[in-house]
Amino acid sequence: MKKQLAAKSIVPIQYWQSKKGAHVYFVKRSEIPAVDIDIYFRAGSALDGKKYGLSYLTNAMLNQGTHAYDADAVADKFADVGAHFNKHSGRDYGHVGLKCLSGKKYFNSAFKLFLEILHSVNFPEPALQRKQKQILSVLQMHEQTPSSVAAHTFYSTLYDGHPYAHPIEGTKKTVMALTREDAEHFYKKYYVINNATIIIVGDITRQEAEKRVDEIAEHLTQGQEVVPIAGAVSPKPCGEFHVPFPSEQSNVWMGQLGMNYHDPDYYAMRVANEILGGFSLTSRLFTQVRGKQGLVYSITSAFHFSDATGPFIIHFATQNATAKKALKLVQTIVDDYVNKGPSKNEFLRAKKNIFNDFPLAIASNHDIANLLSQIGFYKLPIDYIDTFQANIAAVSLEEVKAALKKRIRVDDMIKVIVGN
Amino acid sequence: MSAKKITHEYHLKNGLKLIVKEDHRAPVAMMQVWYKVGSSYEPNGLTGISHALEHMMFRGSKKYRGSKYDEIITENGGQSNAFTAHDFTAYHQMLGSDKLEICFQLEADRMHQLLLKEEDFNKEISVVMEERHMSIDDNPERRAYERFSAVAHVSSPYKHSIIGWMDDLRHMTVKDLRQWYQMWYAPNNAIVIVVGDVIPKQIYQWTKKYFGPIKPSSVPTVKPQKEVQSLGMRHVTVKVPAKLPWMILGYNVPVLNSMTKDKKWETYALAVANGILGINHSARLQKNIIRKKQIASVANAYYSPFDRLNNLFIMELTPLNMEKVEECEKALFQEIEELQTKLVNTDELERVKTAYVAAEIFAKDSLSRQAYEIGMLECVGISYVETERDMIKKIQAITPQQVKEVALNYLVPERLTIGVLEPLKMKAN
Repeated sequence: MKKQLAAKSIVPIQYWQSKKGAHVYFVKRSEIPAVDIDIYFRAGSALDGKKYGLSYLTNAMLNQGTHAYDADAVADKFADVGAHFNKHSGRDYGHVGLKCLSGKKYFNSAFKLFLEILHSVNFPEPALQRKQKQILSVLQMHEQTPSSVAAHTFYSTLYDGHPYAHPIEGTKKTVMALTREDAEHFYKKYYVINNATIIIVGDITRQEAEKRVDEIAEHLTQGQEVVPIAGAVSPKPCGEFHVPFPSEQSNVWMGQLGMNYHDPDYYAMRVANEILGGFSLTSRLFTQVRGKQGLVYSITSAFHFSDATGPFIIHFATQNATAKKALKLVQTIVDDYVNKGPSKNEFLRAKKNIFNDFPLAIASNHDIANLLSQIGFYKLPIDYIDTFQANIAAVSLEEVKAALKKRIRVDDMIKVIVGN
Repeated sequence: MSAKKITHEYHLKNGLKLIVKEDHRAPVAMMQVWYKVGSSYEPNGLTGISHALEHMMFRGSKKYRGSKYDEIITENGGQSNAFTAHDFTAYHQMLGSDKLEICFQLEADRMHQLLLKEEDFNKEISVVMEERHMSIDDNPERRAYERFSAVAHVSSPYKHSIIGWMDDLRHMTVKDLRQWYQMWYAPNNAIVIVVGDVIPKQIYQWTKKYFGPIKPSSVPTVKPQKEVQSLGMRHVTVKVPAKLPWMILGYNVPVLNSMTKDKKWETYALAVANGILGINHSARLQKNIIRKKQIASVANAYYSPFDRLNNLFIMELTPLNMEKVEECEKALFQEIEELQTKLVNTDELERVKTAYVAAEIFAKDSLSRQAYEIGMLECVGISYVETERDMIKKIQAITPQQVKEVALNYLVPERLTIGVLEPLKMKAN
């Protein structure tokens, strides 16, 4: 695949490694007086071991108290300056971030508290017990939501025996068994500077950004970089998995192992999937299952990217009475598409769409920060944004057809059906 | 900072209003067409018709038949969708700003030449029913909320959900939709909003060129349908299969629109009072109910002064289990009493005001949020251009005494409805 360097960067990303070795991605955008700082650590549920939910609980505890302040004081101090302390975690990562007005009187005080948290979050026992109860409530919420039940069944089946199999939040039993020491140990081991990708977007100078990054580095321990979890897991048995559920609709999650960002078929499959069930309202699944048949409200297909091979997932819901019909229709559509490939017209239109659509992905500071987090965390080329359109333009119809046959096979898919 | 005017307003002879807001951070633009019609305009028996019509707007117009609309937007790398609310229906497209002109052609055509074919309607109404299943029927909290709303509003058309009752959807016909379209879709009942990397004069030219020729029509005057005075507390219990209970308290309160000039501050004071309860992690529901009493896992509060008709001041909780429901109710009453008997201290009040200021600034990062704020106000009859900087000033002027006063006047038992979701054992039929 040929890459062309754009004459001028679409989004001028500044990359550097901080004093103590953190990878930093910075874009200056000064139109709005606000700054976003996001730090991603390889500290997701794939590292839970047998302590399912440990990464989630650790992350959830980050605003629950430091040596100097309890949870109320932390909340008050951020609120004093209108700042948002953000955190979330997934299978691969633990995230902590600060969204703040850039004016000195707001930023300085919020950032000081942000550093205090990084350095001396202390997982107070009473708060930890409260969080555990709240997580049980989250688990119960999943249990009463058919699409969550379907997602959970899909992952536990497709990744059986792999660290991606268990729910990110853990299970009732494992969550209640977690201790303060577990969380503290997890934090000290993984929320470290050698394991950090730092994203800064907003109204702040390069000089100031460098200074702030160095301060972040000083407030975290050095630690070790975590090696991303192994690429592929072996293909799993296919078949249908029915979960009885008292709902009007049957929720269907079907799919198989997909690929990761660095796969040679990445751009070809981006085009291929756009035609099958991408975001646009002209995909085959959307026009046939919704438009022609009126069987569903929403139907999509997508590759999900992660350290280990992520899944390819088709998702829809239809009333229980039409579940069989819809499932059969979807399988026929996918089969036909994989066998014959897209028409020349579809192919050209999809390429045009992805090509022209790209400026939308970098429209806001929030969008840019999101893209940078993928580039940084998953180590995409630094010119990923600038070369994206050229890489899409370079995809040929033959590549798409070949990649489709290699990547998608209805017979290899698991089909999870949650409903009545 | 330049004081250059970035928001521009234009009026066409046929009654169409155009508002353009410049944002040159990226070569993209958001175009939206808002119609002043939504679920609160619907009579009984036709609930959900505004939303069903929104769906049919993607099924072809005279010049752009079938799925031509979607195909053109897709080829141009655009993203498009629509949403229906109580007070409005809006259509939006986001594209590279060099490709924006096509949106004007598409939107102008479907403003007055929608096909509304029966065979399309028969498919689309089942899509809408699937949407209803997904968003309400299979979601215990949303289902409870729908029943709560039906009781909390007595005579107000906010009673029914936007998507409509299932029985009304089943009996809806394409003829109903054709009438609804004729009644409400006209340039004199619409607002075009463009936010992004555009030249306002160019946008005005396109608007005149494509929307200018569309004839205005006599749009019905909507009846006031003022909510009757509440005469006492109401309780709703919803029993459905679920794992967790849920509770919601709503007080019937006024909105900006319904207040005389000297009373408008009351709605801002209610917004501040609501913020004190639930605007962020520092707010009272989080502090007292989630962290101190530890009886619920989720707590929120909502109120907007900007609805068309009087609406609700809401608090909602997810109690940890059924045994905690009574305690949760008591705790919420305590919070209301606190607002009524003690003056909020300055630090706490400042935090709420700062949260509103920060939210306004953070919202400027998103083109769609900026366009939404304009459309939402304009559709309920509040001029965005006039109030652009005004709202924050009004919020900042609220005093502790005023918060106490509105709490005493409005957060009273007679105005209250309590809804509780009581989980039934979950088993497949």
